[in-house]
Amino acid sequence: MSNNPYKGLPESAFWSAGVAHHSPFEFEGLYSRKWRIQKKTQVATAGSCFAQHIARNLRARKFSVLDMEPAPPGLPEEDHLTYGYGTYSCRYGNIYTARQLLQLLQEATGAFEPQDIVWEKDGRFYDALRPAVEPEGLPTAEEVRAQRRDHLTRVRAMIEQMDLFVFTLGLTEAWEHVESGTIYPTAPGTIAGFFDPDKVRFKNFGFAEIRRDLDDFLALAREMRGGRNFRVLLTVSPVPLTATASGGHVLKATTYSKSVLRAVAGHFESRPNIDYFPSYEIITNPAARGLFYESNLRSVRATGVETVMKVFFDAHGTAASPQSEASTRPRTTPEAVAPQLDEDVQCEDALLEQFAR
Amino acid sequence: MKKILWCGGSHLANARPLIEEAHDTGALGAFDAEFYVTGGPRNRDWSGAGGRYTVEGSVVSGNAHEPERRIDLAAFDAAVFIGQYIQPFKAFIGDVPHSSSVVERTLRELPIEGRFHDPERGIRHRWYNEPLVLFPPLVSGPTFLLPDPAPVGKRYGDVPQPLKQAYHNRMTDFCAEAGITYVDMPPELFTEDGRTRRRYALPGDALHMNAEYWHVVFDKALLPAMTQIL
Repeated sequence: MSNNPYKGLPESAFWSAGVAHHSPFEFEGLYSRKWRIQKKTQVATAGSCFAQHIARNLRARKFSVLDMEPAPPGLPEEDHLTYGYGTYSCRYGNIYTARQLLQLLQEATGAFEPQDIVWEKDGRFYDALRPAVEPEGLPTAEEVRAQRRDHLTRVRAMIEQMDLFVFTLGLTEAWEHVESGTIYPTAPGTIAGFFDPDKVRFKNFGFAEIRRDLDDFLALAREMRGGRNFRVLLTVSPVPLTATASGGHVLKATTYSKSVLRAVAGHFESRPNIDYFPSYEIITNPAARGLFYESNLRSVRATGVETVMKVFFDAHGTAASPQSEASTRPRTTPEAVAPQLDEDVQCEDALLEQFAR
Repeated sequence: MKKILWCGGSHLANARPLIEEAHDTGALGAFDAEFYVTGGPRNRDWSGAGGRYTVEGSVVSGNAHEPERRIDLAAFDAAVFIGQYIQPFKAFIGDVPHSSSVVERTLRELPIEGRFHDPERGIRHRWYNEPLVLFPPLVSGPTFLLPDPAPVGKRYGDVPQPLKQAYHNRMTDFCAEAGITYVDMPPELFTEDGRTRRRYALPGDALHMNAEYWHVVFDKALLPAMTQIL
C-alpha cells in the first residue's frame, strides 16, 4: 500500500471516527490549550451572551475573574443579572461585535466620542451603548452620562489589570450611527430610543473589517497597558441570530455571521498570545443532532454548556467542578435548574422577537 | 414612676453609662430606665433564621439574647432605639457610584425585609429589625431612633456620598411611616466624607464610639428631640 499524508493520522482527523461515530459529549484532540490559565491569572471577560456562561463557570471554579463594578452587597442576588452585575468584568452588557469592543476602548481613552448615547423611553433614560443594564432606565440623561463616565474608568482599570481577555464573538450585524459611526448593541426602538433611518443604518461587518477592528483593539489595549502584552482567548457564540435585518433569510444570515466570525478567530489563533476555544463547534456539532439546543433551536441547553465547560476545564487541568454555574445559584428544586439555565443570560438581541411583532 | 425602654445592641451598651447617669441625676430623672437587648449579632442571626417575637396584647416575648424575657410595652412612656443595627457600609462597599435605580432597588426593603451580602465575610443576612415595626404602636408614648454611628474607616469614607444620603433618606422615610422619631446626628461628629471623626471612636475600634461621642449625641440631638416627654 502506498504512503499518503492521511496515513497515521489520529482518529480525530477523520470525520467518521472523530464526529459521525463519536459521542458529542466526549472529545479528544478538539482543543489543546496554548497556555494554561492559572487560578491567579487576572481574567477579564466580554462578548455576546454566550460569554456569560464562560465567566460564570470560571468564577464557580475559583478563577480570578475581574469584577470592576461589583454589585452593592444590599442588592438582592436575584437582581444582579438583571442589572448587569457580575455578568462580565465590567458592566458593559453584551458586546456583540468587534467594532463595539474597539469603540468602547476608544471612548475610554478619549479617542472616540460616540453620538446619541442617551435614549429615552416613557420619560426614563437609557445608555444606548448598554441599554439592558438599567432595565428601568434612569431619571435623567445626566445620570446616564455620569454613570457612563464612571463605567469607562472601570473599563480602563480592567484593561490595565487583566492578564487574559476572554472574548466571545457574537454577531456581524449591527446598527450604526450614520454620522459618527457609533455602533449600538441593539437597534434604537427596541429597548429604548427611536429608530430614524436617516440617522441610524444597518451594518453587516465583513472579515476584513472585523480583523482590523480586533487588531486595533489589541493594539490600543497594549498601548493602555504601557506596552505590556496580554493573552486573549477567543470563542464564537453558537447562538444563532434571533433575527436578521440583512434582507435575507435568517438561516443564511446566521451562517454568514458565524462563518465570518469563525474565520476571524482562526486568523488570530496563529498568534502565540491568542488561543481559540471551539465552543461553537461543540454546540453545533452535527453528531449532537441539535440536542444541545432548546426547542427554539437557538438557546443553548444546560447540557450543552456543561459539555463545553468540561472540554475547556479538562484542557486547563481543572476537573469539572460540582460547583457548576447552575449549582452555584440558589434554586428551590433540582428540576428547576436545567430549564432555567438559558434564561439566566441576558441577550438583548432576543428582544428583537418581541419587538418584531 | 414613668419609664423609658432603651433598646439596641453594642451601641446601647456603650451609651448605657451615660443613659444611667441621665436617669440618676440628669435630664431623665423623672423616668426609670429599662434596657432590652434587641440588637447584636445573635439577635440579627436569630431573626435572619426566622426567629420572631410573639405578641399577647402589649406584651412581647423574648429574643435570642433574652429568650425568657417578657416585656409589657404599654408600661413605657417612651422607647429609644440606639442603632438600627444595619449600617450603610453593609449595603455599600467601595467607591462604585451605583445608579439611582440600583440604589432604590437595594434599599427598597431596608430595614425590614431583603437580604444583604457581606462578601468579605461570605455571610448572607437578612436586614430584619422587627422591633422597629413591632414595638412603636405598643408603647404608650413616642419611639425614638438614634442611627448607628457612622464608621470611622476609609472603607466607609469611600462609599459615594449619594449612597449614604440615599440610605439616610430611606431610614428617615421608614421612621416617618412607622411613627418613629428619627434623631439626626449633630454634624460636628462627622468628617466631610461622612465618617465619624476618629477622636470619637473607641481605641482600635472603627464601629463603636466613646463617651464623648454619646455626650454630644445626648446633649445636642436626643434630649432636644425628647422635649415632648420631658
